Amino acid sequence: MKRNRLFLLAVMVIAFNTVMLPSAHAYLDPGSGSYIFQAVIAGALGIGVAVKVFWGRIAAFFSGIFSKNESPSTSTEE
Amino acid sequence: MSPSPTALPSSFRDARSGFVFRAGGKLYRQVNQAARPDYDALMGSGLYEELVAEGLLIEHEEVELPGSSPDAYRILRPSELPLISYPYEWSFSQLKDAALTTIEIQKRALARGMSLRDASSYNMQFQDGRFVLIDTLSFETRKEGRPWIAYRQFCQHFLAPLALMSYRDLRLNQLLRIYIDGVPLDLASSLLPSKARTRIPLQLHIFSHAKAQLRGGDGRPSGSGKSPSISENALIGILDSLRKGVEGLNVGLSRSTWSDYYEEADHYSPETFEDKKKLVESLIDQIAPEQLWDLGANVGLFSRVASGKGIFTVAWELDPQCVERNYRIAKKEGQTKLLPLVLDLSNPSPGIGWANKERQDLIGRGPVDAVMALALIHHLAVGNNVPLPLIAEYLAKLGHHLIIEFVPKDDPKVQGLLSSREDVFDDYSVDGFESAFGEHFTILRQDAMAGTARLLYLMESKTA
Repeated sequence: MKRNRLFLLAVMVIAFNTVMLPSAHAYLDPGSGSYIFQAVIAGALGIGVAVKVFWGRIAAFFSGIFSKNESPSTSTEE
Repeated sequence: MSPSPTALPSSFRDARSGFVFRAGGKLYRQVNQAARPDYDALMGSGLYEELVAEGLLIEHEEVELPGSSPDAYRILRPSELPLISYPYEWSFSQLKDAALTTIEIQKRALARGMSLRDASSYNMQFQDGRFVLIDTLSFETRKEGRPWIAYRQFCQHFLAPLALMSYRDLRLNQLLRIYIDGVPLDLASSLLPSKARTRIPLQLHIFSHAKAQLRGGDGRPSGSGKSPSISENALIGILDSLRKGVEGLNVGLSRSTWSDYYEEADHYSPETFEDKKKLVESLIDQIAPEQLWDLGANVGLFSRVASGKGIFTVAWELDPQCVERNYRIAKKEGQTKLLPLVLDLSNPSPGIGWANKERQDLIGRGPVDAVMALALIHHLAVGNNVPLPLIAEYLAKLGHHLIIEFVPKDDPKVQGLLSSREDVFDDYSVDGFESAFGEHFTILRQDAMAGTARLLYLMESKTA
C-alpha cells in the first residue's frame, strides 16, 4: 500500500509540475480550470487503480505459492 | 394560487430546470418542461426510490395545482423540513456527514447512469437525525466521458472547510458565511499547513486543484482542442479519493470554555439542577410547542427535555466544541428531533447571498413556537453590553413564547463577569428586567428556583 501511495504521489507531482504551472489571473473562472483538472487527475487516479490491481495480482500469486508451500507443514503441525 | 408562482429567493440559480415556491402556506417545487428528461430519468431509473428508501433524498409527491404556468411539467410537494440550517451553523461532524452523504448519492447516481450537477452544502439538510439532499432537480443523465460538473463545488463546499477545521481551527467554518460558494481553494491552500500536503487527496483536490484553477481554461493538457473526456471508472476513482480525503479528517475535542460547563458547575447543587429541569419541563408542557429554539444550549442538557417529548428542538450554541460534542452525543443517542447548531447570538446568522436574501437570517427562519434562554441573559447584558430592552425586543421576534432565566447580579456567574469590567449595569435587576421584558412580552409565570436567587419566567410575545 505504501508503495502504491508513493508511486501515485510521484505521478501526481510530475503531472502537476509539467502540466499545471500557476499564474494568477483574478478574473478567470475557476470552474473551467476545475473541469480540465479532473481529466488530468482522472488519468493519474486511473494509473493508481491499475497499479493497485497489478500489485494485488502479484500479491495473490505469491501468497498462492506460499500458501501451497505452507499448507503441508501446517497440516503436519495439527 | 397566482398563475405564475414566485420563486423563493433561495431558488433562482437553476431557473431553467424549475424552482421552489410557496402557495397557501405550503412548499412546492415546479419541474419545468426543460427538466422533463432528467426528472423522468430520476423517477424511471429507480434512483429516486433507492435514495428515498435509504433516507438520502427528500421524499415528494406529485400534485396538481390549478393555474400552473405553461412551463410546468410537474409540481412536486416535498416533505417539509422544520428548519433550514446553513453550513456556517454546522459543527465539523455535521459538515463531514453532509459531505459523505453527497458522495454516497453521487456514487449511487453514477451506478444508474445519472450524476449530480450540484454538490452544494446548502442542498443538504437535516431531517430526522440525518442529512438528506433536498434538491430533487440536482440530477442529470450522465453524458459519456463528461467530468463531474460539481467537482469544484464539492471541494469548496466540503473538503476545503473540513480540512481547515481539522488542521487549523473549528471556527473556520465561519469562512462559509463569507464565501457563499465555498472556501476558494487558493485561500484554503494558503491557510492550510504544509503537512496537509502529505495526504494525497488533500494535495490533489485542494492544493493542485487550486493551481489548476489559477490557469483557468488555459489549463487544458497541451495539444488538445476538445473537451476533456473521462471514464466512469475514473469518476469513481475521483469520488473514492474525495471520500478518503473526507474520511481521513477528524477533530479531537479539547476542553473548551463551555464544554465542561455542567461538569464544573459550581453554581448549582444537584438538587437545584433537577429542580430546574422539572420546572423547565412543566413550562414546556404548558406551551406544548412544535418547535423550540434553545439559545445558549451548551451541550443540550435542557434541549433534551424538549426533544425527549418529540418536540423538534434546535440547540443553538456559540461554542463549536459544544455543538460538536452535542451532535456526536445526539447521533449516538439516535436523536431525530434534536439539531445542535452554531450561533453567536451577539452576531446572529445574517441574510447572505444575492440581495442578502438567498440565505435567511435567524429572525427570517422564525418565529417558532417557543424560545428558551436559560442562563444566557447575563452573557448578553453584562458580557456583551446589550441593554435589556434590546434583548427583549429581539427575543420577542424569535418566538411566540419565551422561557427565560434571570440571573441576578449577586450570582457567582455574574460576579465572575463583573470581576473584569466596570459595573455600569444599573438597570440589571429583577425590576429592570421585568420592566424591559414587559414592554414586549406578557409575563405569564415567574418561578423561584430552589437553592438559588435565579428566577425562571414564562412569557408570551406581543410581537411575534
